Amino acid sequence: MVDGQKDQITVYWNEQNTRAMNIEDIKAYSESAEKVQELLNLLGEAKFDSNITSSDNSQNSESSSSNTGEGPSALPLQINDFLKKNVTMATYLAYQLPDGYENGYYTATLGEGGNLFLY
Amino acid sequence: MAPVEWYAAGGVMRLPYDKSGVINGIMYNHVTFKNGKLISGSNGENHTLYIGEPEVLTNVQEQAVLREVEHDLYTAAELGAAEEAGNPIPKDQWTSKMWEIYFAREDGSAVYCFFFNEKYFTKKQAIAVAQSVQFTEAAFQ
Repeated sequence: MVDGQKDQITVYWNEQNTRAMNIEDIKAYSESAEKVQELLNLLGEAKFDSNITSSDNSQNSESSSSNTGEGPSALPLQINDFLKKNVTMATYLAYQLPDGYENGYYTATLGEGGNLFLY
Repeated sequence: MAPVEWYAAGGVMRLPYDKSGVINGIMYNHVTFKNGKLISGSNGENHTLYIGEPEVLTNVQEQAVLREVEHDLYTAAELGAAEEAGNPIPKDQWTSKMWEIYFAREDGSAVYCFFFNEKYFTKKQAIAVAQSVQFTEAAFQ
């Protein structure tokens, strides 16, 4: 299924596009592996950051600040920010494309995120 | 290299918006309101030419405005390099033209830009897609 989707992604790229971008770049755009890894890295860092416990439990920030010297850990905020930015467009809207068109993968690099249409 | 969306058949993207006009410390917004009415939109990108006047759309769930835009797909250096390499890029492929449709609420925190490559979509088709858009409660929060 995944391989089939990759092939499908290349359909709307015409000769002009493939001359400007190599095929591997195009495929990389549609894959989510990098984003999943980014999230796993954040979660991994959070797991081993003992300061998160105090900030997550809503203990007073003065106590957290005294532990780190920099205030509550920023990692939960980073994860929250990541999750906010990496949602599907279906969270925000729905629409109907003409026959022959369909949605591509969610692409995090389109503005704050978006979809390309495939033909 | 030109942004991927400039080559695409079309797409939709979410953009930041703040009524104050300041986004990430920069004075810029993707849309313009006048007396509460959405009157224009743009991506604010280099190598982009807006054609004609904005067209306010009707029969849409939220305020929407249509623009026609032309993007440069190659720099002069890239065109020169391709020609020197014996593989000149035909002039009719130097640019892409798109119908852009911006949706926004004046008090919202996001703008939605649909873009339709004119090679794939007629203006009528682009407007039909815009008129089919249904936003969720989370769309402009």
